[in-house]
Amino acid sequence: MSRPASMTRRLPPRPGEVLDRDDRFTFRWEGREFPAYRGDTVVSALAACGERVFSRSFKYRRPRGILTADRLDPGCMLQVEDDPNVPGAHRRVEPGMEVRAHPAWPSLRRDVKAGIRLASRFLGPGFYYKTFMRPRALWPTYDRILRRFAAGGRLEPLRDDLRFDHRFIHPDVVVAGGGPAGMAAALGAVGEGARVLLVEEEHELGGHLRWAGGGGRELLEELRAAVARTGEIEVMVDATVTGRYDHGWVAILQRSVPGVDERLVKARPGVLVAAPGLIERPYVFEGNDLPGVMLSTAARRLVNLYAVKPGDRAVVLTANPDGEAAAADLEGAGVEVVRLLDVRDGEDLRRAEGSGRLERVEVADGTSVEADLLVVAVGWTAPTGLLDMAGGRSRYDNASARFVPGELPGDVLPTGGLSGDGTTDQLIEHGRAVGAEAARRAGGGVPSPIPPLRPDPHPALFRAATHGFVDLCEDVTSKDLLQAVAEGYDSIELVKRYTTATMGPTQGKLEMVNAVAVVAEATGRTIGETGTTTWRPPLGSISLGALAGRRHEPVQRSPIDPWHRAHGARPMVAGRWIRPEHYGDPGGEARNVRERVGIIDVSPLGKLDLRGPDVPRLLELLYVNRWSKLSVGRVRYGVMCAEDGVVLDDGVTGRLGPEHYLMTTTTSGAETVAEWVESWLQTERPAWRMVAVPVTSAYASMNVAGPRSRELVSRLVDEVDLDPEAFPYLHVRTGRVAGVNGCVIWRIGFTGELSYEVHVPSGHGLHVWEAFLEAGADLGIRPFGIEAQRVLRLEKGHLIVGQDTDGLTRPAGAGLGGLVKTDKPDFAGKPELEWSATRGDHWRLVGIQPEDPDAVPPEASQIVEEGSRIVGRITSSRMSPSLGRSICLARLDPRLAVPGSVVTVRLPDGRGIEARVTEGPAHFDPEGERLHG
Amino acid sequence: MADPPARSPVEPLPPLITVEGWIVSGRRSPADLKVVDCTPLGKLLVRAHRRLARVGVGPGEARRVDGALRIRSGPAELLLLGAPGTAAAMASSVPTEGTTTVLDATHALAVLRVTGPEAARLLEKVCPIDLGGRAAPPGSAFTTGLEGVRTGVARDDHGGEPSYLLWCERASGAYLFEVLLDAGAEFGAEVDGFRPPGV
Repeated sequence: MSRPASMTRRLPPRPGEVLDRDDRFTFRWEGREFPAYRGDTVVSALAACGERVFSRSFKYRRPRGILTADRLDPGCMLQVEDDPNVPGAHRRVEPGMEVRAHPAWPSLRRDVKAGIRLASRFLGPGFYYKTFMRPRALWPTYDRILRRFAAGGRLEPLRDDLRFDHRFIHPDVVVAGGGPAGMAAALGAVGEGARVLLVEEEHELGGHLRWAGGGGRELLEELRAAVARTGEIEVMVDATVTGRYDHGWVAILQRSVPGVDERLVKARPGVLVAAPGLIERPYVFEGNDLPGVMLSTAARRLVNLYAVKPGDRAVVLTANPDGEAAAADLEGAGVEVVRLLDVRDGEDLRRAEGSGRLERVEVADGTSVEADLLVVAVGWTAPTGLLDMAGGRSRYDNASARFVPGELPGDVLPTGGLSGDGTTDQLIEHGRAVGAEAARRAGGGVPSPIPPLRPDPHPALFRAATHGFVDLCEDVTSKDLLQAVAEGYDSIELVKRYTTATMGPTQGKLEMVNAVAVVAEATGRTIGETGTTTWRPPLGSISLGALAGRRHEPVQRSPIDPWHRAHGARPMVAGRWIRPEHYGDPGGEARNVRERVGIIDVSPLGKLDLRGPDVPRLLELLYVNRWSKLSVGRVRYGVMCAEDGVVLDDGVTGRLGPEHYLMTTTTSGAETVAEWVESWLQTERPAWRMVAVPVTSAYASMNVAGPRSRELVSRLVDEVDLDPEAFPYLHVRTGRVAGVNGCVIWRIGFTGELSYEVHVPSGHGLHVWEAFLEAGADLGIRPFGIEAQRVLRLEKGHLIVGQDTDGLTRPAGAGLGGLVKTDKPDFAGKPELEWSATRGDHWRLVGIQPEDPDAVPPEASQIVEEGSRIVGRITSSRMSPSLGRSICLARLDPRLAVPGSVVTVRLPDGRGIEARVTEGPAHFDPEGERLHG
Repeated sequence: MADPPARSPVEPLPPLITVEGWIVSGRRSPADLKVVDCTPLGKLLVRAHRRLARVGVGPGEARRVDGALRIRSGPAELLLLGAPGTAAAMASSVPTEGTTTVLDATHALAVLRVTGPEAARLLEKVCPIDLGGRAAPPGSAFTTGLEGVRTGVARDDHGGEPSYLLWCERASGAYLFEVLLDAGAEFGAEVDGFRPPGV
């Protein structure tokens, strides 16, 4: 067992450190135990123990260490527990945490795949496109091999321990960035009465004041206290503004929310203030990716936030005061700064050298310096992504050697380093002014100008005299970019796609400007002429879980659902409804309906309450058959077609009173029909005096079916005469059932049996259901589910719209042609149906019985002739418990749709079976004696 | 003859009690943030052929009139919520002109109430509408999509505490209740039993 590591490079307490030295614990890195303090990131804890290599690079498997020491650090993407691609220089370490590098074999220190660097001269841009195109047959092999070389962590595909959710928020102002300018902007906006959301990517507010030392600490505490004191600023730390979308939507990825792994916050502010600060730009030179080469901000974060001594002998290359400050911080931490190279004095470096880590720095003057740390401070990138997403046009400023905001829409304002440079006081003053202006604009005020914050002049430094890595995420070098340009990819957008530069996790924030500069150098254009690629959301990586949010799947439940669950019903999803498919014995359930009495929950049936004198006109318009003479107490079956004559839905409608009707629809068609009715009433026939109200959920509906159903219903129904003469088939009554008032009782029969459909006010549905089961115990009542109902209706030859019809089926093709009354003055679909009636070439719905009574062809099986010509399709098929044989409904070519025809049904295994067309669609009780009994 | 006790689509937590003809939870929660199943409320839906006249409530408003909460839930639609069993009585108070349907919607809708200082924070997790005080002040009402369910929302503060009434078609009531409790877990939301009059 390996010895636990120790914090050999941990400095004594620093004034601004974020560590809680009273809370020390251990975690595991690559299987070995390491100590850490609360507040450490994974990488700072490891660096404090002397670790310098945290990953292998994407393409060449080169060892990589700390570059930025923040969330963007391309060399610090780690596997934390089951989470791959975790920014280890940002993720705070927890006790017992299991951290690994992304796969390297046999170890991170010695990855044999690094041997690929020997072939690096052949692995230039477009290598994959050029090499693995032919032969096509080898694509799967190429795929397998390349996957073995793919970088990235291990994703556990089936995890149910993660929790993601969403939040919607509507502040007046969102401030993206919690540095001094961002905090000041939030305060300025609150001062104008705005509701403000302040978003900071780091774990705490402060921006560069956190690690810049000097008098910044006191100012930082003042600003933090002021933000907290207002009570009006919602602060989100460890959260990233990932994009700005149309209509001002701002997406924010929030981490560190208790009980939630990641939350996607959808904010719609009046004004977005962009205050992301500046990003220090890497320098391109040979060996610039060696562990030990880092940016000045990284060195200062390590020293001042995490009390980590990043090296012993340092070379500092600087082009600005921040490099000098870094050198001072390093010296203060006991690091020997052996050489300070000031670009402004004409100094530069040539290359960094070392085997797996920095050992020497070769200076442009030809001298060589032994060092284990090279700190570079060569310039800044203004992250203009949010501004550009909002429609801004950033422009390159030669003087400051960075892109700066151009013209912007009125609801986006930049501040802080993104706007320009200045002292901390100037940044704060600008932030306050911008925040106040944002609040005024969010309140509808007229935009007024804000005194500008101008960027300071800065040397233009992108690449030394040697070549190095431009994109450290994707392993793209400056040589690669030059080659791409040489091959004709001379626009930055094409270069990006050809080389994949800027397409890694940092999404261009570190490497974009260097890439542009190299392309400009190669094409002879200026950086401004070359421009940048298009900034698109998301600005950083975002998990699919965060995009998806909570896994809420809307479901609808019947009032009788608790009973179904308590009695072993197998649930099935039907649209949004959860329905009982069966109670364990669908065949027995069906037989019981034929022989005794069964009860089924049909609550999901769509129901519309129609009232008013013009209801008959609506029914005439929407149904293909006649309705004007439907008398009170009668029920009629109707078929509804769309304007193209295709069957839209079917159902029965009953007349409950002189101007009161109840329409039922299929379960799946309920919403469509409700919208269809409303559409006609609101847009086509607004003068008609009637009102339609969907009442599907208002009633619990149950169908009591079977030869003993009348006897059973009579035991529970008051005020309704059930005598067949008084209450015949296709009639409706209202009355009291099992003591419940306001019930509607229909005599209809989808199952082909004598049956009563009872609609009960939903709150009493369970009571009535249980009352039927209790009252029918001696009659042999059993509940039956959807499967038994489907069998029973198939025996009877009743179609299901959507199953026995499709998106092209007109009534005649579904055996419903006789219902269509083309002599009506008008109805939806009439012109199409008149036209289609003259053709007669549509497939017909017919009953079919396989010659082999035990063969049940699966639904959707094709009916073929002459080997493979499709002439029909099985739409429904089951083994009939009543007939003891297989039965089907099919849609069939009219030539074959005649009783007695023998057709061939192609089974999934390729065999063909013979089946015979029956006399009509009904396989059972074709005369309807049971139904009308 | 009185109907037997009715049930809500939301299965009540024990202890079960019967209140005004409904089987409800007798649970009393001490939590600051409470979710209450108010389905037993009497509900009356008034829908006019063209427009509603003289109902005393403007578009987007919810207002108490004669002890009932009148909610303008649509351009030509009014929803009245009253104490359990009052739907018929409310019907007599509604002016009807022209072709108007007055429907007892007691069994058609599920009604839920979220009450507490963090009520808006809870709803922010599932509702895309701005629930801030300026956009949705007390007495405001609107219809929105809430985790896939068409839902009506009325701000109906209780005793100075933010409170929102939410209603949807009854079959989705159990789902919506689960969604609200799930969203409210981080704020310590708990189920509280229904207490009449409830509105």
